[in-house]
Amino acid sequence: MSKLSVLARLLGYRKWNFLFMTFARVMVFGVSFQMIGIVSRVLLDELSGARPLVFGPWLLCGGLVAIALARSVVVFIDVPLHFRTEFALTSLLRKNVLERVLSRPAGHALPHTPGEAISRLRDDVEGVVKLLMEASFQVGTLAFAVAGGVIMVGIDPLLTALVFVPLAVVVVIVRFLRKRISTVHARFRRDTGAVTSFIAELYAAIPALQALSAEERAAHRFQQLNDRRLDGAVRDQLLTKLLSSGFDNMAQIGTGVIMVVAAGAMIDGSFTVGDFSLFVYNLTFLSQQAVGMFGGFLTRLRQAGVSLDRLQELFGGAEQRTLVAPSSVHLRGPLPKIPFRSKRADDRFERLTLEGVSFRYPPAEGLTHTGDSPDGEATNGVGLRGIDLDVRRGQRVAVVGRIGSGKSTLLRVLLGLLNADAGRVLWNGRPVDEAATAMVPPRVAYTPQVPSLLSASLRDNVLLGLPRAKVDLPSAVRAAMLETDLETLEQGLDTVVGPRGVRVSGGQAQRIAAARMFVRDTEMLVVDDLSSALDVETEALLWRNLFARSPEVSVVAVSHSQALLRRADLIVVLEGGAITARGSLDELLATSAEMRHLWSGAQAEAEAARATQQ
Amino acid sequence: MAADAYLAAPVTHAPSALPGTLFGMLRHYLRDRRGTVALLGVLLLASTGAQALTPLIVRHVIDAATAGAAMADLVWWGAAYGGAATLAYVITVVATLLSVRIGWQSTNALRTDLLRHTVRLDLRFHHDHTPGEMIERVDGDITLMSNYFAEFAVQIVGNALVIIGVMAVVFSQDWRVGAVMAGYVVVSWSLLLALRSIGVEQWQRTRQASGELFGFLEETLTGMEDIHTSAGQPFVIRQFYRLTRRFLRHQIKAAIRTTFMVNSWLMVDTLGYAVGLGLGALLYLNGWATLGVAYLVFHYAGMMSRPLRVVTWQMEDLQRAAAASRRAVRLFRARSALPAPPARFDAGGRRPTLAHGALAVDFDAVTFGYDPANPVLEEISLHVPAGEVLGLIGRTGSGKTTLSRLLFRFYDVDRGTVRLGGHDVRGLELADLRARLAMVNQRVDLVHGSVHDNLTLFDTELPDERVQEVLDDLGLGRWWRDLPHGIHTELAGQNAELSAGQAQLLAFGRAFLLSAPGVVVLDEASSRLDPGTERDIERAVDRLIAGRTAIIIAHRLATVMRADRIALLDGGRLAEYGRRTDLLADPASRLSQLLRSARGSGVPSAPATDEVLQ
Repeated sequence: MSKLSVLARLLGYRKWNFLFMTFARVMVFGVSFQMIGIVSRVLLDELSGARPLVFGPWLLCGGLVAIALARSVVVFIDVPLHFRTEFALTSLLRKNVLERVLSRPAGHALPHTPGEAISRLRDDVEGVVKLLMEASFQVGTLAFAVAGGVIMVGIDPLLTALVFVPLAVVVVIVRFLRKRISTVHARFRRDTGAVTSFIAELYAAIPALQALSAEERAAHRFQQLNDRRLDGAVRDQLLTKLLSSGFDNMAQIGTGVIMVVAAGAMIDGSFTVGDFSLFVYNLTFLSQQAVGMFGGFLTRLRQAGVSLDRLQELFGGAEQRTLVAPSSVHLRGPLPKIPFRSKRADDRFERLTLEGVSFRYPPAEGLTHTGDSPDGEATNGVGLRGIDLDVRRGQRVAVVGRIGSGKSTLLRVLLGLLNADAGRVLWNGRPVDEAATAMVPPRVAYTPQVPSLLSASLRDNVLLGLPRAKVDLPSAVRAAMLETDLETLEQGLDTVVGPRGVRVSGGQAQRIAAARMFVRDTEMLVVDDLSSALDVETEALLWRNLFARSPEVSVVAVSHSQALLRRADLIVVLEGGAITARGSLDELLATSAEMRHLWSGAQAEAEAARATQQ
Repeated sequence: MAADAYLAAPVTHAPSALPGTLFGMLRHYLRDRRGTVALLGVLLLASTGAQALTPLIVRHVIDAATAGAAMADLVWWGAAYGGAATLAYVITVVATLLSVRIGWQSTNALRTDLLRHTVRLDLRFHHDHTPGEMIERVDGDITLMSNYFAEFAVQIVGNALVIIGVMAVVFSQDWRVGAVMAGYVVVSWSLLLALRSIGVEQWQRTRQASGELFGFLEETLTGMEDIHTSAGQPFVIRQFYRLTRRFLRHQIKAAIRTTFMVNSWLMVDTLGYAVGLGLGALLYLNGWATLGVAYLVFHYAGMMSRPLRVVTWQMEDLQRAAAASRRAVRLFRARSALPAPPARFDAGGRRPTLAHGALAVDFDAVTFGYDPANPVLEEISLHVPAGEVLGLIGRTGSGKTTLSRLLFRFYDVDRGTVRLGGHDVRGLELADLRARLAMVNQRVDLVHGSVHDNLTLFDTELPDERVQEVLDDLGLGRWWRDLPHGIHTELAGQNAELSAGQAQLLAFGRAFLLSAPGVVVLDEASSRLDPGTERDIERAVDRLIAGRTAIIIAHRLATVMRADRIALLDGGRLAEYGRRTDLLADPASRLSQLLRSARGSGVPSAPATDEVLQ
C-alpha cells in the first residue's frame, strides 16, 4: 500500500466532515476572495469610464462587506468541525498504534525508549494529520486559482500564463528538493526523539540526580542534545518557511513583469485599469497565499512520509492498512465497557513445556553512540541458551541464579514478553504461536521484579479495569499482604500512587502488583523475586497462605526465599543463561556448587545475625 | 528558633532574573543575540522600504500609460520594479534564516533553563508531574514558542514596519487619504489587540490536557509489561479515550474563541479593501486625484490588511504559543519549597562547613508529611554518632525511606530538626550537604546515556579507568567488557542490557565513585541481588562504610545485624531505638520479640531468624 493511499484511507475515516470542510473552503477562497478582485475590477472600470456606471462605488463597497459577513458564518461552522475531524484522525492513529504496541510482546514493542516513542505518538501523528487537514485548504485555494484563471483567460491568455508562473516554479523547486526535505526532516525527528527520551528518563530519576548534585551536569547534557537538534531543526524549518512563505516577494517580481506587458496593452486600450487591478490582485493572492500554501503542503507531504515511516516502525511491521484501520475513537457518547473474560474450561492448565528455548538480546543500539566503533558485535544481557522446562498442574517451580544469569529473561520469554529466537513454548501441548495473546489472565498472571504503576488510584492499579463485582478484591489485598499498608494510607484504596508510583515505597509497589496478580485468580502465577517487597517471614507467610488457599495453583517464581525453596517441587539453577542443575533443594545442595553458593549466601544473613548474639 | 530564621530567609537559589512574562522572556533570551537581532532589524527595514516604495512605480506606470507614454520608458520602470522586488526577496530569505536560527538558539537556552530550574525543585513538585508531562512542558510547549520566537521578529515586527512605511508614503501622496487610513489602522489594530488574548487562557488548559494525555501515554509505554500480563489493555485504551476527550473539549473551546478573533480579523481585512476602494473612488470622482493614485490607495489598502491576514493565519499558533509561554512562566515561578540557607549563619558571619571524615546524624523531634495534615513521620528523635552504623527497620511503607530523604533534604521537616555533623541541614548549601552523603537506593532509575553517564551522572571529567575499576569491584567486569562500546555503550531502551540486579549494582557504583561522603545510606540496597551476589559484594560494601557513618535501611532483620544501633519504625513512629546489644539482651524489647515471633510463626524455613535465637 503506497503512502498516498494510506493517507487517503485515513482521510476516509471522516470523509463527510472532510467534504463539508472542503466545500466551506471553496466558498471562502474560491468565491469570497475571488469576489474582492472582481468587485475592484468593476469599480475601477466604472470609474475610468471603461465600462458604464451600473453599480456605483457605494453599492460595490457594500457588497464587499456583505461577502465578508457571509464568510464569517461559514468560518464559524468550519472551525469546530476542523478540530473534531483533526482529533478523530489523530486519536485513530494513536489508538491503533497504542493497541498494536500493547498487543505485541512487550519486550520488543518499542524501537527505542518510551520517551522516544512519545515523540512519535505526539509529533509524527500530528504531522500526518495536519497535512490532511490542510488538504481541504488546498482545494479551496485551487478553486480560487481556477476561478481566477477562467476570468483572466477571457481577458488576456498570455498574461494569465504569467500569473501562474510562480505556482509552477514552486512545484519544480519542491520536486528538486524532495530528497533533501525527507532527510532533513527524518534527522530532525530523530534528534527530537533523543531529547524527549532524555527528559522522560531524567525526570524519573530526580532523587538520584539531586543526591549526586548532578542537576547542572544534566542541564549541560540536555543543552548538548538540544544543540545537536538545532542544526536539523533550523534546516527543517527553513525549508518549510522558504517554500511556504518565501514566495511573497515573487508576486512583486511578477507584478513588475505584468506591469510592463499590461501597460503596453493599456496604451492601445485593449486592457483597462480594472483588468490590471484584477491581474495584480490574483497574482498577489496566488503568490502570497496559494503558492506558499501549496509549497508548504508539498513540503509537509514529504515530511508526513517520514512520519508515516516512523509510525510504521512503532507499529512493528504489521500491514500498513491496519495502521489506519477505522474503528470508533469514542470522542462522544458513553465510553466503551471493558469486557470481562471469565475463566473457561479450556483455560484449565495442565502442562507448560519449554523446548530448547534460546534467546539473545539484540546488540545494544542506543539512539546515539558515544563510542567510536559503530559495529555492535557482542551480545548484551546473557539471554538464554537451550532451556528445557516442564511444569505440570499444581507444581511449584523456583528459579534461582546469580544476577544477570537470565532468571527474569526466562520468565519474560515464558510469558511471551520476549520472543524466543529458537525453541518452543507449549501450553497444554499446543504451541503458543502468538505467545503474547496466550499467557495472560485468566490463564497466567505475573508480578514483575520492578513493577510499573500508573498515576491512578491504588484500586485502579490493582483492578486495571476488572469489574469490582466479579472479583474478590479484599482477598487479593490480603493475599498480597497489603492490608497493613491500607490502614496507614489515609484514603485506603483510593490513594493515588503518583507518577510511576513515587508516592508509595518500592516494597508497596510490588505488593500492589502482587494484589493485581492475585485478583485475577489465574491458573498459574509467575513471580519475579518478591524479596524486595516482603521480609523473609512475611514472604514465607505469603507462600504458605497461598498454597493453603489454592493448592491447585501452579507457580513459577524467581526466588531465593528459603520458604519457597523448601516447598518447591522443582528448583532450576541458572548460570549464564543455561540451566546447569535441577531438582529438589536437598538434591541440589548435594550436587550443585552454584546452589550451595546461593544457599550459603542466604545463610550468611543468618550467620550475621547469629554473630550478634555472641 | 533557628528554624524561624530559615522561614524568613530570602529564596536566593531561585534567581529573580528568571523571566516572569512573555515579553520578559523574549527580552531575556534575545539579549544575548542582540547583534543578530539588530542585523535582522536592518534587513527588515530595507525590505520594508522596498515594499512600501515600489507601488509608487506602479502608480507612475498607470498614469503614464493612461496618458499614452512611450513603451521604452515603461520597460525601464518595469525593470526597476523587478529589481527592487528581487532584492527584497533575497533580503527576506536571509532574514528568515536569521530568525529561525535565533528562534531555536534562544528557545534552546530557554529549554535548558527550564530543565535546570525544574530538576532542582524539591521532590514534592515531582510527585505531581509525570515525566511525560515534563516532556510536554520542557519541550512541547517550547517548540510551539520557538516558532513564535522565530516568526515574531519577521512577521510581527516586519509587518508593523510595512504599515508604518506605507503610512508614510500615503501621507506624502495625499494627507486626506493618509488620515483616513491612519484612522482605519488605529481602529482595526486596537480591536485586534483587545481581542488578542481572548483564547490564551483556554489554550493553556488545552496544553495542560495535552500534557496529561502524553503523561499517561508515557506511563503506559513504560508499564507495557505490567499492562500486558494483567490483560489491562482495554483499561488503558479507555483511559486514553477519556483523556483525549478532555483534550478535545478544551481545544474546541479554545478554537471557538480563536475563531471569533480570526473572523474579526477577516472582517477587518475585507473592510480594508472596501475602505480603500471607496476612498479611491471618492478622490477620483471629485477630481482630487488621478486614476493612478486611486489604484495606489486600493493597492495600499490591500497591503495594510495583508499583515493582518498573515497574523490571522498564525493566530492559532500565536495563541498556543502565548499559552505555552504562560505555562513556561508558571514553571519558572514554581519555587522550591526548600529555602536557601541564610547568607550569614554564625556570629562571625561565616558559613558552616562540615568536618572531614565521618559525620554524626541527628533527628530531633522530626515530624513530616507529604501532606502536612497526614504525617508520615511523627516525633522521631535519633542520634547516630559519627562512624557508627544505624540499622533502620520496619515494614516497607513505615517511613524509613522518607526519614533518610529528610537527611538529603529532598523535603524539609514540618517540625523538628535534622542535623548533619551538628549542623542543621537547612543551614548548609544543598550542594555542600549532598556532597557529603551517599545513597544506594532500592529504586534504580537509569538515565538516558552511556554506562559511564549512568555511573557518574554525566560527569565526563571522571576518568574511564576509575569507572571501570568500580565496575570490576562490583563483579561487573565481564558484563561491561562484553558491551559493544564498553562503558561508553548507551543504555537505551528496555533494560535489555541490564537486569534489575545489575542495575542495583550500578547504584552501588554511583556511591563508590563519590570522593568523600561522611554518611552512607543503604536503602534496601541489596534487595534485588541474589544472596550469593550480595555476599560477593559484601567486602566492597564494607570498604564503602568503613570510617563513615552508615544508615542501613532494611525490612529484613538479618540485614541490619551488623548495626551498632537499631531503630524500629512502626507507622511513622519510633517504636524502639537503642544499642543493638542492649536491645537483644532485653527479652522484652521489640527487636527480641520480633525475632521470637519470626520463629514462633512456625515457618520452618526461616533459618535466618531461627539461628539468631539458637
